[in-house]
Amino acid sequence: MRPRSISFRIKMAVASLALLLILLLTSTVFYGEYRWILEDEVQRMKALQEIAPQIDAASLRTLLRRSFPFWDLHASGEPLELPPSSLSVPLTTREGAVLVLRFHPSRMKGEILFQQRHVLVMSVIGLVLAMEVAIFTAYTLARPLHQLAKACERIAKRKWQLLPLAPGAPREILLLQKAFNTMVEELQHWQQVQHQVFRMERLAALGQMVAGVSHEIRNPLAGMRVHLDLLRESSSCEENTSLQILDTELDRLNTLVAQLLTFARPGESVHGPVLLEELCIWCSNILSVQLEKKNLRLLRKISPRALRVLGSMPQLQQLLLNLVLNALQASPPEGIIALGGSVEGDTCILSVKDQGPGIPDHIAPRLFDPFVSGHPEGTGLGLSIAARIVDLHGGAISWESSPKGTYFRVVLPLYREESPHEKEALS
Amino acid sequence: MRLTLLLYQLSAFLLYALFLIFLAARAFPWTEDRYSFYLDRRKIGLWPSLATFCATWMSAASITGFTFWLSSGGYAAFTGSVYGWLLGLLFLPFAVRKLRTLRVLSLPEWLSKTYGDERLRKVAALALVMAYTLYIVIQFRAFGTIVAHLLSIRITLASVVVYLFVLYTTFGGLPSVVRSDGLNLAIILGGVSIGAFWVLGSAGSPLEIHRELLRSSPELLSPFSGEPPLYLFAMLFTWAFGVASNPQYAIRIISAKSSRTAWKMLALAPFVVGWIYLCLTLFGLGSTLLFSAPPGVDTETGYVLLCTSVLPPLPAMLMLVAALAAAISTANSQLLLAACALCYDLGLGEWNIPQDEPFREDRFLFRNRLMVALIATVALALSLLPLPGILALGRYSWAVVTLCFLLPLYFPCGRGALYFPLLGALGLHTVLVFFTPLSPEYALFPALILEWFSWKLLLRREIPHAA
Repeated sequence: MRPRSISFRIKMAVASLALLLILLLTSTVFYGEYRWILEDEVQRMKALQEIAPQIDAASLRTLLRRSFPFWDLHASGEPLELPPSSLSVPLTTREGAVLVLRFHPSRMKGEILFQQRHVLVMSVIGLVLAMEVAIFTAYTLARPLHQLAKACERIAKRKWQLLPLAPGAPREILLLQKAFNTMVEELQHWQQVQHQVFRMERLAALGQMVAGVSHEIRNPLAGMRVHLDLLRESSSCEENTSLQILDTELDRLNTLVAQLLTFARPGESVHGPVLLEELCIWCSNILSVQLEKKNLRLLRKISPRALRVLGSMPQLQQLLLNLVLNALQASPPEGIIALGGSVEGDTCILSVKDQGPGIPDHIAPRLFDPFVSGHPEGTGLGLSIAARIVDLHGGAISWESSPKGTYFRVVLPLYREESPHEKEALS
Repeated sequence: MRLTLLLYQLSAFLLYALFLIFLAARAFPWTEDRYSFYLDRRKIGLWPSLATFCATWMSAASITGFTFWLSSGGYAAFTGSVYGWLLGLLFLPFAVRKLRTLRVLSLPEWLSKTYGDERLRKVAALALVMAYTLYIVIQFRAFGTIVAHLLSIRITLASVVVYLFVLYTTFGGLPSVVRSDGLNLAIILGGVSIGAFWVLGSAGSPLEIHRELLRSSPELLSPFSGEPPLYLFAMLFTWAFGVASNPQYAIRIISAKSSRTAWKMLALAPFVVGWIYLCLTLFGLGSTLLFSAPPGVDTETGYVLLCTSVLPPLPAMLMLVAALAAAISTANSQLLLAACALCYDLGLGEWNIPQDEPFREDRFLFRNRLMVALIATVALALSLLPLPGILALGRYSWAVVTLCFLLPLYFPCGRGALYFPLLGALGLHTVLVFFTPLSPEYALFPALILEWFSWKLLLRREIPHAA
């Protein structure tokens, strides 16, 4: 059997309770009224019995018709068949005639019902109101639970979902929502840490292998280059075309090997002050030809202009170059690539923003993994090298992407000039 | 006798309230979205569709207004109302395919999608909110008057009862409205049938009634008795066009399970509403012979007097409860449409809710219910004010609805350029109604003509531009 919903139970409980209360209240009101009128009628009839011998029959009949509407009059001579429970009273008139009066409870009940009809109407109003309140109460309670269930379903599908805290919700529900949100945040953090550890392990293994293989490839490549140069001196015009292709391919292989080696061993990291403005100008100069080719504009906004980071110049050059190359590939012709630098607390924020189509969903979770690329001709090492360099600087790299563009944000340690006092202390 | 009648009336009212509470207790289910709230997921079968269509059709104005007019004015009531309503029904089959093809949730949305102008949706939605709020006032007043009489209570208290009933049945959206409409139609059918049979028993067969009327009041048998023919024809076409373009019927066509179901519903509906009109006609004409209402009495009170004077307690109570059921079934349907126009078409339901909000739909529907409560409260307040009579308010509302949807649905001039003609027609109608002595039904025709001609004209001007 399908379990009943909390909403159904609340509605049923409130409706039953409301109905019961209404029945109790209305029956109390009606019974109280009935008892009161009955006692009053009996008292009045007793009083009438006492004074009846002083009143003539005609006056007595008129009095009874006007003031005792719940009593029926029977002359003593008439046959009267009364049920055993019925109330009947004999009255003796001044003339000595005996009149028998019979009490009509149904007539009295009808009159009470008419007089108390507002109680019934208010009961119906109360019942409908109770149902409407029940519906709202059930909704208030069931809604957060349903939201919780929905959020759990989304999390099961790896879509992180925080619950909006409803200010008017009951305390217990708020506690539950807060606990759920804390759990989700912890899970998110734990997943990030796990992902990072996993990545580091993979990178270490990959780095070892890549370093070995690259080294082994590099030597034959150097030999090939020497022999190619020798061949070029003695070749004919037709052969030159083929040699040119060989030369280009060798260049490509060399670049790849260099990248692999950079990835495996990012090189010496002598950290010192690096002027961000200078770094950006260098990058702009290096890439000027490619930028012109696509008619792209590289904008720089470094604030303050003398902003310096603590890091290794060659590594940071490699980092920025990779990020801007990435942006360059993604940007549409005549687009803008924005380089930014700013200070945030004790850190420096370096940003690169393009107007490309955004990062495809299928590579987004593994963006900084080696050999993951959105372009068929890409090696997939640029961003992984960038992430490696950022790690070596103790910084952090993050990104945001939409169909309007991608934004990379690199957090690096800020270089602060030591004061003379600090210098003294250090020496 | 008075107590017996009151007992019957009280019991009937209590039973009706309990049934309604039981049937419509499904408000606020979590699984719903706007598609189920407004259209019940377009899965309403033939019989529920037929029940909700006919129950919505029979408004309190139809039952009380027509019966009382027939009783006091004779066959002119046919010319001025029933002929128009039934004529409007003939238009509806032509709208089935058009309405169902676009898979819209409301008629203003259909208008904007068909004619490619979002502004049309806003204007039509605003007009609908206004027209339906006024029309709900009619239902509240009719219900208030009848319940006040049924239970011998004040009209204000009775209006609060109807307000709560209508709110209760509308909170659950169309599924809840459809359920309560099943009960309402059964009550209407039962009530008017018993009332008619009783009158036939007292006043004689329909032929005898006709002969007696021919002898005693022959003027009542004329199709234009007591009313100028032009006025009656204007009324007839106002009702006909109003029915043909009324979103409360269009939405029943859209929400039916299939086009075939919608067509079957429209084919069977004339039999059901025809039976109800037949019973009301027999009751109204028969009661003319048995009772004459005091002069100057308003429609709702006249209907109550007619029922209680002509019929014994039990049939009288059934006839009165039938009018209550008609008021509830029409009011909740219109309330839902007005809330839909405000929240969905005018965008109040989604205003200031972020796009990526995961529980957006839930918040949207909650706002719908708040709007239901708001519109019902405004209608309740208006129902306590001395506004014009039932039929006058109804005619004004239906004229507004006609201006918005009649031409686009049945007589389109082209694919665009409708916005300014529609705006102009609504403006002209409002000016004519409020600033000249013209009644809404007379004012409708110049406004319609203006709409049609200006639409044609603007289209002609647009075509060379496009070329």
